[in-house]
Amino acid sequence: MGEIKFIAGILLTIVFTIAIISYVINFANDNNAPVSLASDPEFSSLSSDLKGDVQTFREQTNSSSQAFSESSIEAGSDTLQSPGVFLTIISLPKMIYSILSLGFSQVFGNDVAFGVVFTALATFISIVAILYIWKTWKGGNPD
Amino acid sequence: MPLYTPPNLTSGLDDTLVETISTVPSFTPLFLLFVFGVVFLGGMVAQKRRIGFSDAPMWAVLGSISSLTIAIIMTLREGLIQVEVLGVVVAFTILSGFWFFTSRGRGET
Repeated sequence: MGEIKFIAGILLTIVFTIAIISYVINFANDNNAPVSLASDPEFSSLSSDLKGDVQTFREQTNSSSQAFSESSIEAGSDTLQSPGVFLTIISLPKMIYSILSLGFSQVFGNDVAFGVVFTALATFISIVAILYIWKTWKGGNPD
Repeated sequence: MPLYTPPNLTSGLDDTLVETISTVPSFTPLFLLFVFGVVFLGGMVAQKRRIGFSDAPMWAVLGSISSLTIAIIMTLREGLIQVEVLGVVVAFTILSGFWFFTSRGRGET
C-alpha cells in the first residue's frame, strides 16, 4: 500500500463514516423513528467534528500546495529543506483516531482489556503516516 | 406449567416480535449477527469457489450494511431494537469500512 492509497483509504473512511452516521440520523428524523442514533450524542459530535476536520484538511492542502509551488530546490540538492509540505497528512491519523476510538468504545465498551488493541492499532497508523512522510521527504518513491 | 409464555399472535407480526424481544432481549443482536454471518461467510465461500480467492473486507462491508439496513428498519417500531444495539451496528459498519478502504494493495482497486 503506497502513500496515495494510504491517504485515499483514510479519506474514504472519513467520508464513509460521515455518510453512514448522517444517513442513520436523518432516516430517524424523516420517519419520526422512536429509536434514533441522535440519542447518542457521540455519533452526532463525531460527524460534525469530521466535517470540520475535512474542511481544515482542504485549507491545509491548499496552503501547503501554494508553498510548494512557490518553493525552489537549490542546485545539487535533491530534497526539500523542510517537510512542511507533507505535514497535511498528519491531520488524517487524527481523524482516523476519532473514528476508531468511537468504534471501539461502542463495540468493546470502555474495558481496558481491549483498550490496548486500539492503542496498538492507532499507533501503527500514525507510524505508517510518519514513515510515508519521511520516505517522500528524503526523496524516496511516494508510490 | 409451560416453559415460556407464548406471545399474543393475534395483534400483528410487530407486536409478536416486540413481545418476543421483551422476553428474550438478545434476539435482536443475534438476529443481526446471523444476517451478517450469512452475507459474510456465504459471500466469501461463493467467491472463493468461483474465482479462487475471497475478498474478506468487501464481504464484511456488505454484511455490515445488510445488518444496518435491517437495523434501521427496526428503529421504526419501539421495542424492536435498542439504541445501544444500533450504535454497535453503526460502529461495526464504520470499522468494516475502515478495514475495506485500507486493505487495498498496490494496483488494486
